[in-house]
Amino acid sequence: MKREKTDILIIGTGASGAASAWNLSKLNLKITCLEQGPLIDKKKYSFNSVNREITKFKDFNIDPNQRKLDSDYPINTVNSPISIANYNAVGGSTLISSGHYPRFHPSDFNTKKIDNIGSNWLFNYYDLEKYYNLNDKMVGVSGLTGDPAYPKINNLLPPLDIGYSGNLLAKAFNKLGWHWWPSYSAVKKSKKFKKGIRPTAVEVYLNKAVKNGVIIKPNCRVLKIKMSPKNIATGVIYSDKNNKKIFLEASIILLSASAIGTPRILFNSSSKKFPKGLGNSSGQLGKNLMLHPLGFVEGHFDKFLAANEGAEGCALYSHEFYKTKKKRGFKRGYIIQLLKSPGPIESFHYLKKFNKIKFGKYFFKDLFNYYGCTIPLAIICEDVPDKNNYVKLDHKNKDSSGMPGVKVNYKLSKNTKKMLSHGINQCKKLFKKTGAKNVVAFGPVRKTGWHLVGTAKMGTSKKNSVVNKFGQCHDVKNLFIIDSSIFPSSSGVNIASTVQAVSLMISDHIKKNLTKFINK
Amino acid sequence: MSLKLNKYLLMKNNLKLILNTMIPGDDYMPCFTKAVKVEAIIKKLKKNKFLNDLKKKQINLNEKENWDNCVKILGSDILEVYFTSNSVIKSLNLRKKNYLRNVKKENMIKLLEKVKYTKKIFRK
Repeated sequence: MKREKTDILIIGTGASGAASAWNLSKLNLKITCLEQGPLIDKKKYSFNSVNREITKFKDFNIDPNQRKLDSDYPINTVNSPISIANYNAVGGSTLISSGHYPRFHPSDFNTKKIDNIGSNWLFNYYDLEKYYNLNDKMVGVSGLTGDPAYPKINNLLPPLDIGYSGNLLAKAFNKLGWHWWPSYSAVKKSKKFKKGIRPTAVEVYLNKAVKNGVIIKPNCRVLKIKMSPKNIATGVIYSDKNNKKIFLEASIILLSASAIGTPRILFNSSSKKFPKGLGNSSGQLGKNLMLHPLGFVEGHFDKFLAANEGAEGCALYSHEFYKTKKKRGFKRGYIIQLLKSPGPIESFHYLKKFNKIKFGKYFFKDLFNYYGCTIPLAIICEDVPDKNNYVKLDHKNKDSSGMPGVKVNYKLSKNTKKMLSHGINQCKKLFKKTGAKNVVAFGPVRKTGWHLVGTAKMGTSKKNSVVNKFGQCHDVKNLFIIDSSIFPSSSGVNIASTVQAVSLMISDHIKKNLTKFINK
Repeated sequence: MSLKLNKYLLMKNNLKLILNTMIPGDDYMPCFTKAVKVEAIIKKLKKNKFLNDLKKKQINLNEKENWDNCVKILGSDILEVYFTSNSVIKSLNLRKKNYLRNVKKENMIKLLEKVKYTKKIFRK
């Protein structure tokens, strides 16, 4: 087998891998990133709203089981009401993310202590704050300072327009006296894209890391992490684009393949010493998968609201129901997000499903009764860790390299079901105040598993967790997990900002303690 | 005029008729062939038997079977091409401007000031 050597190896180049690659790139060390997906031309993923409507059903489909690209691996979700969304390429899922960039609440780090549910983190919001600030600066986050739901967040870019639909909704929130705030969005403006583009991990971190000497190897899938008899990770075996196996020796390994891909690699790295999977002395690997179950409520209006325009992910949000209130009958809570309504092509397909549109004489009449006239709201529920929600290897379904896929076993808890139902009722109440002619609601929505959390939780010892507070594997001291698999709780907000802040914090820790890990 | 060219023109005209029946246009929106050159669809369907049939005769769109067949073959292609064409994007923008001409938006900051947050205690 061919052998290669690097000092630091980063597995995965998505949100977390990219942030650490940049943060470590100024060290005088050889840093290599292995990415199972290809390097994609920026023009292809810098989609404006027009071609996004088309690509989201094709090569940029969020569902790997539908995309079925060589870079994807099968994810069996037969035993889950929510399917998994991801993207495998240089830049990872940030290539298809909507750019909604809120931070976790301070309370999200202490749910066990505050509400006796879930698990506490080993650090808090304020430990992470400087990394949130750094990441916001790097990404370019727009928003408005002063949200009473958060500690003060400064240096934001001007907030995005909430649009006509946002205006209508804001008035309804005001009538009910409910919290709302313009959203935090990662949108950068350029000469070419006047309305702004979503900055992906490629533009924000990877291009800068490459300039500093980081090597990125696309189409290279890590199959196994190899170990020495002294429980030190010696490197990985990866498969290149020609399916050739190569051993890459490394002094430090950072694993950032998402809460599905990370346990997959660790399970596939099992050995006599680690029969249940690498780093799995606790038996916690793969468990506590959290997915942010989503409820969908859509108000239909008699008038055109241009609701198909505006922020890609979220124009405004409400944290009115975020904290626990006993009388609601569930613990923790959810956020309400104003989404963008679909464009003309997606509107057509939606209407066609319900036989409400046909080509011909009434084509536009039918289309314009829906297009731009609906306000979609998402209820994003905080998911709590449960050992019965887990991922394991699926030996029946293998990827293009012959590596087993992943099987997801996931159920909604009673707490989440109550939360979802409460959210749907509150949104209906909200739409009553807006004058919507009718409201459609359902949940959980199947294709919404894009916030993947848990599966390699952090904790104080190898009896109850996979990693310590710095993502360092209890069983393997030179192996760090830097993605959202280490999160002990999920919060109720988009995870991207926290994923990158945590990654920056861990890589800072590695920088400060480098001599402990690098064999000189 | 050669027979081949004649057939091509017949097919093109028949296809135009079908496309404009499927997407006929309205006060703001152009009919299909005003927005998209019919050649773009011919190119997409290059080897499809459907085009050969159009070289022979006009299709009676009043017959359900014929209509369903046209929708099946052309449906998704024409949607994509039509709604991504520049003239349709312009028409949608014009339509938007006209519809929103008299709709007033309230200032976001003023709207935010109207919420009585003092009653709320958010967990920090």
